[in-house]
Amino acid sequence: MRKVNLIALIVGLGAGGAYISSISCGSSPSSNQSAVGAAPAAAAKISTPLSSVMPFDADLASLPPKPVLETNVRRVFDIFSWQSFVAMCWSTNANEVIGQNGDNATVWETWKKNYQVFLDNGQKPAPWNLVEQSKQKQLSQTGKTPPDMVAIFQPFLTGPLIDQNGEYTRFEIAMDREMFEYIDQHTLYNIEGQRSFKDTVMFPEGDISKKTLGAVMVKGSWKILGKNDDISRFHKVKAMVHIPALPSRGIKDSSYEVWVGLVGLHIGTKTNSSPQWIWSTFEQVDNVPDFGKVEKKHYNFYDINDTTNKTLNKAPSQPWNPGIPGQKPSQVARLTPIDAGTQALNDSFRKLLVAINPQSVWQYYQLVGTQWPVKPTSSKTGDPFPVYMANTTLETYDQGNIKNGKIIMSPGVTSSCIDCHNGATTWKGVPSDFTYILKTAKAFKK
Amino acid sequence: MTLEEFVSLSAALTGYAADVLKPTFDTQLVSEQLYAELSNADNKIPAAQLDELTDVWASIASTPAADMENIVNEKIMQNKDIARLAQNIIYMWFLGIWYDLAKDPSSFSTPNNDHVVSPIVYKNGLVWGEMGAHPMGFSTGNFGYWQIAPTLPPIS
Repeated sequence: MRKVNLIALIVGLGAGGAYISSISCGSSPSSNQSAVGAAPAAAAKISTPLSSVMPFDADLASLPPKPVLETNVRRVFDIFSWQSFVAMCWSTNANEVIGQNGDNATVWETWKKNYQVFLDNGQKPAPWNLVEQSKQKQLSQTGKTPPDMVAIFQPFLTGPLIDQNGEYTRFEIAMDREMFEYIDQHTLYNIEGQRSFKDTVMFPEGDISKKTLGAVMVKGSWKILGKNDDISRFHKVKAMVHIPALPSRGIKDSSYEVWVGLVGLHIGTKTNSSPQWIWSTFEQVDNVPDFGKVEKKHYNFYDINDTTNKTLNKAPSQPWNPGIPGQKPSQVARLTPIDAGTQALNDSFRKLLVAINPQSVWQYYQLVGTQWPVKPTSSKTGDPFPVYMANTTLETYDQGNIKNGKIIMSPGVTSSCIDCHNGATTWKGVPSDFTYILKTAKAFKK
Repeated sequence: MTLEEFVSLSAALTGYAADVLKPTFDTQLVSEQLYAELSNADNKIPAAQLDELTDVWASIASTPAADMENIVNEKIMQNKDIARLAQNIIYMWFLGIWYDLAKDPSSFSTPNNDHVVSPIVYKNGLVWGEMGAHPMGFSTGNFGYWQIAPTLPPIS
């Protein structure tokens, strides 16, 4: 496992307490954090307790003698999530802190994309190279899972998410250096390599005592920015989006360049405390209302004038193709409100982001929740908490069912990161350590 | 009956330790959901039965562990006024189902008010662990777990 050099830029987020401490620039990183890949090496001019430093693990040592699951334990994991989010969304410009100029190119977008690791010909991927990896974004995925996995997930109602402008949401998957190098070193980047792999797939884990970073995988969801979108509230990039061919409708394969805004971000982190990984999920604040609580005049994925709720949280009818004109926007509501403690932490981080720059786009993102294994050794899934967790842009149609106005959630059906990812396998048909990424590998071709 | 009394009574009735039925870090909240069934008006539990069960349990709750099984059998399971209600509590813990108290247990008469308490309660039914199995549609096993013979807990 790679050890990383600690940098002088600081961390100031005390895990576990009901506070956010403010250690000024120049101090040493706390014991549970380390620097991420392309983070700036020099201290920024703006003083902030926020940090480019990635946490190694949730700081369970900071818990009081009698911790309470729903409050202070959850808070430790939520702080881990926010620290991870801030570090990963930190500017790639060595002279900037996050959001200093409103928006910034982010560290995680320089990580390896799944299509850069699992090549169509199954060849060995190029080595880790931040410059090469940060070339223009290509967004061809129109479902949560890559095209060749869509068939697997259709029974779970996974389908496209269509915004209020009738545009499909696009998705991408990326991984950090620890995860990439494990895949690369063990030849897990093609089907043959996975089938001949004799060991148990076990990605590197973040460890506070060893000061090692764990494998991190990221799933981002993006909306095409257009009419009625307030672009000052999105992290945005120019991307090449893809429309796959659909001959029955006369649609040809094509791509075009467009501005897209980040609407969702899943972060999965393998750590020593959480061998079933820590699952953090963030959303842009204007995505959807809570079920039955419409408070804004505009949402990305909810029409406030549609009060019938006939299509609420229902996948669009087939065929699914972003090139079909006039498709009805998805009508989505959040079925599980964000926990009050998590919401309070969101407010604390929002203040810190606004303090850097009142125009920071990052103030418009919120932690929806963190799921972790409460008893990691009790079973393969380790008793996840909270039992259910969903990002409305990524598990849109798996949040639960609404029957007679009542929300019904069911184990094995309603979204739970750990329960679902426990079923992930390699091409050999053995567990893949909670990631479906390996199943996107292709056969080797000379 | 308080939640704490319900959990301690449940431990005596099921043979599972109270901290297993209601763990410190309780992600599933099964005990709370089962306890709520006792005050569910649809279940039509005669107040006198619940009061008597509460009183009987209060009188024997401090019995030494070695004698608990016998005293529970004598004072609760052999007491025709409250045995059925106690059985229902056991059924809920093991099967996740509330059985209609008004129904003749020896018949298959319908309609009745039998119902699954909740999906979470059903998933956490003690019977699954006792069988080395899992509820339909949900397993915490890895892919391929079905190739491996289930491990049964020791019978005490």
